[in-house]
Amino acid sequence: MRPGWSNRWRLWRPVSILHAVVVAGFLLFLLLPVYWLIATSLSSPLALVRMPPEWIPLPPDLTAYRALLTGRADAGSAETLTTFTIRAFQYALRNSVIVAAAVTALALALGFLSAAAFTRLDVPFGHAVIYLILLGQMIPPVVLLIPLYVTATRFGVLDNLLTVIALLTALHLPFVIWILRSYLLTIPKELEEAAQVDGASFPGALLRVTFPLTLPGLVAAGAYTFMQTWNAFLIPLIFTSSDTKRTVTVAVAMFVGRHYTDYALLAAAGVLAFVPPVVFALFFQRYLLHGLASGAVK
Amino acid sequence: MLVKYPRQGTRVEIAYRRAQTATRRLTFRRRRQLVGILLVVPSLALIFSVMLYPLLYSLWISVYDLNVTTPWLPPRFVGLENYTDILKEPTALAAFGRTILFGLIGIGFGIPLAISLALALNRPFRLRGIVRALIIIPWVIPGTVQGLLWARIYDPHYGALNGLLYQLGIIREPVPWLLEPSRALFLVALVNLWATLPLMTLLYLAALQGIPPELYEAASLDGADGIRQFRYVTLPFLLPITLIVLILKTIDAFALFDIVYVLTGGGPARSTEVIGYYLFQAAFQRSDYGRASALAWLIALLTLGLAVLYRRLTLRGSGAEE
Repeated sequence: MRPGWSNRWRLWRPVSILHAVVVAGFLLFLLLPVYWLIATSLSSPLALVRMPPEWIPLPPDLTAYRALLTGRADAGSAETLTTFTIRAFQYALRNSVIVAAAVTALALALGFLSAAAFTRLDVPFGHAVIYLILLGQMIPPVVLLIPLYVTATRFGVLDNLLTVIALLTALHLPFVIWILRSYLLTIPKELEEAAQVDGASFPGALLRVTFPLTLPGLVAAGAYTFMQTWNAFLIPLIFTSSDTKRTVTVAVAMFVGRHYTDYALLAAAGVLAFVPPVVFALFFQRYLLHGLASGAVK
Repeated sequence: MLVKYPRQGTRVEIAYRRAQTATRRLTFRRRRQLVGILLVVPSLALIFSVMLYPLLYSLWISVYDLNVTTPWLPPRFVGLENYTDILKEPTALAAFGRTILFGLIGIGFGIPLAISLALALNRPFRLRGIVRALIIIPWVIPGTVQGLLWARIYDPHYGALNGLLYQLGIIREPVPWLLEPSRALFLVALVNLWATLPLMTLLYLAALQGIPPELYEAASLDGADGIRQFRYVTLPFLLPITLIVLILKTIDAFALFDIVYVLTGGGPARSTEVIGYYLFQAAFQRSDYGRASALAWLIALLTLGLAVLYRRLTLRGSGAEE
């Protein structure tokens, strides 16, 4: 029997058909809602108030994206609410980029130094400290938010992006330290020691030998931190209040709360808000899963 | 000043050499310690100021009345009054009940669905890599966008769900999905299921891929059919991951906030006011810091207790001794 034959035959067995139906069903359940948001964002305002809806927006209408990205609303819909919303969204997009990038950079830098110290140098009570930090991860953030809010109010640092950055960095740092530590433990110390024998200083050996070898771990921890901070909602919601300080997740919630009815604009804002984490997840999926797995196992 | 080096091999020389290496070793250790501490201090300072200090402060708040509306009065020690108050509050208890129902829906439907999808994805087929990459998408979408997305689906007038049912001829009049208190919580639970299914599936898939294929061969040699192979080979390997999934789903149920905030705002008639949303309102809209802190601690203890319980159950399930 030729192999192609058996394959074709196998494809039509009842089990295979059932299998294909199950996979397709799950795929539709998970992805159709996402498709519908994208389709809504590309629809013309008229098509969106039709029943039954137009499932495929043809031709795609890019007005909403143009408005959100260039900041100009269409001449037809030049209401103050629209321009106001668009401007707020642009601030939010910028703030989310700043916050996510800053938190990721800070958490990776601080996390790498700490992980290096915990694995390569003597830190007094190092093990106890590591487990204490990990125990801190078990505390639900809600417990911490009230005292943090009261403290931030007292020091007058509410509605400040730096506060949001500091809080998110602190909350994600333990996970980053843990992943990088378990990663560094797999890299033999002898490589660094060899470099030090050859005359490199400890920082030099760390930077030129260990750092490049840790890159996959850094990418995993960085991708995860970026996604988590981009998606963070409760902390930016509580610690910011003005339209110029909000992040994208908060801005989206505010739009929906205002009972805003330009659905295409709303949907386009939603799509722009989910594109970065989705791209990160698809691009770094292998690193991400590996990082999560090593974080969970070790 | 030149120090005369003692003659080699003499007792003095050996002692001198030993002392020298000992000091060198000591300073080396101390320098390593010093550098180590320097590298760790920034991280620890940040973590402890955002975790340890608020943790203690939170305990303090939970036994005080902060007098937020009358700030000229000093905080008043009230003991466990905040805790007993919140447990006597009917709206809080109702929110607890909804959270438990929500969690049970998520676990009861989520785990079987995640295992089925993981089993389906564990069989080789064409495009499997792409499918596996795509299913991750709902999980990484920000919570508020998840809410927005389903708001566009549940919308009574122009929503996709009504549109689909109308075109299929199942309904004639638009259904106001989220306006009916008896089903709103289930619809929110469906959104949460959609959002968390990817992670659960990936965890189960990783567990499935860790099962050595020899076990299946051995089982089929012993005459075990497909169902028995699943029961006696696959399931035991899925139990440890099930523990993790149970804990994740429980934390998730008690923390649920963003989807409710966007989709229903706790309504209609409080029917979707789960404990995470209740806590947010108590703390940041009513500024009832004392009782909210007490509630936050109760939630933390309850989650911890459930995690211990799950551990017991899964350990018994796998037949392992503690």
